[in-house]
Amino acid sequence: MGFSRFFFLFLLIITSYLFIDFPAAKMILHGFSVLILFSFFYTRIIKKGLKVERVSKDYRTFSGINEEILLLVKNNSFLPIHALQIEDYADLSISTSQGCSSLIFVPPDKEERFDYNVMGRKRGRFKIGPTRIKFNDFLGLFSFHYEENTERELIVFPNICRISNISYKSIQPLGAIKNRVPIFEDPSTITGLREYQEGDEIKRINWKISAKHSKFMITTLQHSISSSSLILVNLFDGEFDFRLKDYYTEQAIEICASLLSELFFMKQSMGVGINCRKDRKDMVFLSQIGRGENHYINLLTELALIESTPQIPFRGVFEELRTIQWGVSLFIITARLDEVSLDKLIGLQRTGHTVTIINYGPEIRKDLSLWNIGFQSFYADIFDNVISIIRL
Amino acid sequence: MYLKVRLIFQIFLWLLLSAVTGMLFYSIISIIFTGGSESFFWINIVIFFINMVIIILYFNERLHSSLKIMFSFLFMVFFIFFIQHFIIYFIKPKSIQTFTNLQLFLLVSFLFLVTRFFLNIIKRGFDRIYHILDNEKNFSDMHKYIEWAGGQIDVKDFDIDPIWFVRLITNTFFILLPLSFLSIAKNPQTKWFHSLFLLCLFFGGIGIYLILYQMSSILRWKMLGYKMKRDIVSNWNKFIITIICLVCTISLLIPWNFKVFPTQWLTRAVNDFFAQLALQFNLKMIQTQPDIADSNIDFAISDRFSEVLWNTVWKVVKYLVYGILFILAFLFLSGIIGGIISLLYMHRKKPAWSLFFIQCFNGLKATIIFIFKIPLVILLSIWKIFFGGGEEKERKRIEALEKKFYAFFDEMKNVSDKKLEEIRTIVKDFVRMVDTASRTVAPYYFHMGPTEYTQILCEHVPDLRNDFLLIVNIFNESRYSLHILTKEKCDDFHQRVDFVVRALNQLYSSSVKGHPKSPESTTGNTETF
Repeated sequence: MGFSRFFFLFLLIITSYLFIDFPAAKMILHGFSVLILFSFFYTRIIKKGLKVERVSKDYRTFSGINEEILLLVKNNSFLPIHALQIEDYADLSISTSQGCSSLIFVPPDKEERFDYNVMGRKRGRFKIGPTRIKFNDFLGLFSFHYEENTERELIVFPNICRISNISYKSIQPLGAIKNRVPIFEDPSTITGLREYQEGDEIKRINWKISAKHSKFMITTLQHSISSSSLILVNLFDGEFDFRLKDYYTEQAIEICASLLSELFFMKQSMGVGINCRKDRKDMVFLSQIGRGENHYINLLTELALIESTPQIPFRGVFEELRTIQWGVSLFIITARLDEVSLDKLIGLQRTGHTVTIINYGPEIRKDLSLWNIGFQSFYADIFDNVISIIRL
Repeated sequence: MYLKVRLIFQIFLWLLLSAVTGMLFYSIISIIFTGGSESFFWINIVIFFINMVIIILYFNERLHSSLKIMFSFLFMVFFIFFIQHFIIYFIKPKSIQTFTNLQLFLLVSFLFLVTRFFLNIIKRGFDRIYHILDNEKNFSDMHKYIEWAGGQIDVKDFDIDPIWFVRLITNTFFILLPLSFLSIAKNPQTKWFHSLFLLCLFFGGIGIYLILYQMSSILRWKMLGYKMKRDIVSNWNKFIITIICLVCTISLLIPWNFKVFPTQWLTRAVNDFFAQLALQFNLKMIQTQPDIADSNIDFAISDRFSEVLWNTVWKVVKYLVYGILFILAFLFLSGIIGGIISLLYMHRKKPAWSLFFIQCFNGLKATIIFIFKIPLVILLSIWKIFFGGGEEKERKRIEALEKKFYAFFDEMKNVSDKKLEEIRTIVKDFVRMVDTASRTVAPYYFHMGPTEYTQILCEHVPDLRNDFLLIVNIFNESRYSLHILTKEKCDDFHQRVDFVVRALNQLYSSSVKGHPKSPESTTGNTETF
């Protein structure tokens, strides 16, 4: 469209405005000016009153599960937004396309939701955002576009598998499992009734049954203890050749996460010690031993973010294990075990810790069968989302 | 989903068509005939009614287009005839100015042609987008729909933008506004009719533009993969209607019935201009009472016709010459100002207001160059007449093809110089192949993509299948990648295109001679390149 044509048309209308008694020409000039001015100020007002916010601070999800990403588009102006283009960027590892785009209408002084789903296919930390906003006025004359900083992290936890065939040693602290060393009793598991004997606590008397039998009867409970577990994972690069490294690192983390999950559901205290690389820094990660959902989620978050380390061998983990409370069960997830680490483990066993070795990797290592020195030794075989624990 | 859009569009189209027809009608009768054009008040209502019926007819999908034309024309003619005769014979006003049957028929036919012209252009532009959008409901898979829609329309080339409508409406304003000015200047009583229609034209034009812009935007966003909620269209429609109402109200509220420079000279000048002419085409007042039988009205040709004809023609020519000279002087002056501005802002960003003057300057420059080139142009034209302009046509065709293929490279503006050079080479070679294949094997249509066309070629010339596929693969690699192709690959591409062009020409010449002969394929013999 030539500028000259518009210019001439403008001249024509101006001429009529000035010299000719033609009401419509004046009205058109007014109308056109109003339209252009309205369009201009409409764009400005919308830009000023527009606010895009992400609802959650950070997202955490398990792999394979859809996570809803929600954005709130607030229109604080008194005019409606007839069509707003929103494009939210998401990492390709969690989304099928790099940006999820939508067109929304926002009424005046209200907010509109813009949501879409992402799905973590592998563990890790992924970026969501920023959000790109584009707006064109109804005439196509004025527009604006900008990027709103709505960057957030989505942490995808490692895959959690079901563990089968695990045989717990009787002394191990696994909650509802019957324990031969009665330190604590589980009040939720009733094993039977017996007649009241001298010395029994009054609160143990089962009054209903006692009334029925006309003598005092007391409830006997399952003997069990609740103790702590510490899972030590070996993520040293040197254990595998280059091609297998990533695959078996993931496997070790999956075993660790699955074991943590089992312990969490049994309401046990747990902790993790790993030689790893996090945020490009080689380190030994040693968590506090604790229980509860928050602690469990924190451990899974750490597991989601770590990688194998090329510098710190497994024995480095034992150097950090200076003080651990008595009775903590140790689960060692490793592909190999060097002599130094073995000596350390034997030392730990002598100080009252039970040791369970879970071997993983391309081959079953017979040298890790250490039942003769009192270590439980297993090989973990992952197949079809199930970890089969095979006795070595 | 889009039915309401269609309905709103029809309403605005109705306003626009009524405005065009009405303004033309009043301009014609006001300029050509003398006196009494304001008495045709009844035509206002008739025009609005007729256009409404025509639009209903044209938007009826069940009727064949020929029937639409026939019905609308017959309706338009007969309805106006009917109304005129109804007024004369049944309402029987004391006096009324009317047309003869021939005048009316000619006028209505002309108005019908204008209506049809506008209706056709605008409706075709609307339907092009509407049908694509409306067809979405027939697709269950969005990706398939986008693929289909992409084949229907070239979104990248802004084929769907309503620029065509802006051009149309601006040109209409250009034609109708001066006519209205003349009409009002000559016959100031018609200003209210013209005002009504001009407002309809403005609001109809704005409304149609807003609807077309809405639809083209939605289509473009759909093609870009935007998810869209259903309420977008309905809310947008409400917004458009609100804006139109708002603009209409504000325009009415601002004072408009005044004259900035109250002069009568324009009226006098126009009346003077048309004085002689108007004498010849004078509408006559007829008396419908008491004798209805005398109601046949015809032109009153003045006895002084031959006497004043020369004066009229001379005055018309004189005024036209004055007008042209005035415009030329204005453009020349603007051109000089533009030249000065160009010099002043040679190394700076030119201000927006100076664009018109700079354009005038460019035009002036081009005109002067053209004047000096006239002998050369004449010689070239003679050359073309005698020796044909085949090369020019071929060059234009190649240029159009190149433009089309360059459009495939989305990131062309952002790539490095090396990559740009590579793209140019690849496109040039590919166009060479496409052009040859289009002439010899299968015609290339502009909606075809490179792969699509190559597949057609593979079907037609299976012996060259491998070459075609390799060529299009390299083309696509250059198209989608940001890396620079290796020199070997570029050379291979060039040589392969050479071979294919040679082979196709050979195939074509042999088939023309009646001895079809397959070209030697390079299948399994790629080491020759």
